Amino acid sequence: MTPASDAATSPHCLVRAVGRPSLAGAPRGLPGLGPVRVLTAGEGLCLTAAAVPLARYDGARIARHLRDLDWVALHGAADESPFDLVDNPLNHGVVISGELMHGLAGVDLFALRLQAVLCAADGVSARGEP
Amino acid sequence: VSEVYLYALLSATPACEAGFGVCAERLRLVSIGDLVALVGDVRDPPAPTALAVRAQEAVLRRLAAVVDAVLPVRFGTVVADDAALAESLMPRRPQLARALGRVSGCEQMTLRVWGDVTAAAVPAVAIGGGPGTRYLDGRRLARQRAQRVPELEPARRRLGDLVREERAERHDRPPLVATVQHLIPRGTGARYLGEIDAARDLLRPWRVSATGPWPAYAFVEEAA
Repeated sequence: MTPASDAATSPHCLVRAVGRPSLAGAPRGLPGLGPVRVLTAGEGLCLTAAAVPLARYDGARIARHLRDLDWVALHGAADESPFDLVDNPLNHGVVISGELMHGLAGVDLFALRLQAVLCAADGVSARGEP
Repeated sequence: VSEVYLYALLSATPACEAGFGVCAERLRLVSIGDLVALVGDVRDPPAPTALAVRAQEAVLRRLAAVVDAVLPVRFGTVVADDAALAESLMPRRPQLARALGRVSGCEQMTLRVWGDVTAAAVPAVAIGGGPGTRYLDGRRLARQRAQRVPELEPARRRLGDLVREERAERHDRPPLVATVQHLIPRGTGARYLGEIDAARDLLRPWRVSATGPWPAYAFVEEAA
């Protein structure tokens, strides 16, 4: 982060792109962050970043909150949970059976779901759940 | 020979290019009455890997930015050709249209409630009537209880009219107590997370994790 008065800039990722990358559909990021924007980094590289309110995410506050498991659960998984990312497409959504073929063998789906559950269990353990 | 891989049903034709799909195929749109199906022609359906699921999610997020309503289709659904797709969807157009109307302008947040399940409410027991009545009442009460998550009441009060609809499911997998899906207006995810954050003290002893926003996967049941 680069402090600037009451806000800082949080870099998300470095992108190599021919043109300016589209931000359509980009996750909104953690609670309280500004909109994701693209910064030109030269030599075909772009940086995606967002403004961060220091009142909420300054170093001391983060350090203090890192001991608060609920805060970590909420803010650390604000946009992407490995479990939900995989669970939603596999277990929800419009199901069309009968007339349509399903291209996936049950065993493969089971393996993927198991991986997802294990990922989720890891996340829970990291947050201090049994 | 290629197959038609079905990604989602849309309320309208997007104003921009549909882009590319999970298998790097160019996506196209198939009109079926008032419905618009987002499909890709693939030689083989994508393997069920985390990367493929993530890629499909990215396709839906991209479309959700330019179309009011996106009804996600379950991962791995393929059909022989466009005619078979139309044949399958035509009889369900009313249900699908209603589901599209429900999720229009909305996205989904997922809450998971964690805690000591021994502290959860004791299930109600059916009393009175004959054995058949008690059996049916017991089934009804069990079904009702499976969809009730009173632990979240403090959060519900804070969320107020932010939540358009709720789907809840209790679990028998401690420490996971329940999963609750909320349908919220697009663009209100940060406010939603802030309200959940603010309700944490009131929610104790239950811990709540929130993820999202997601495409409205859990609100298609009428069309599922």
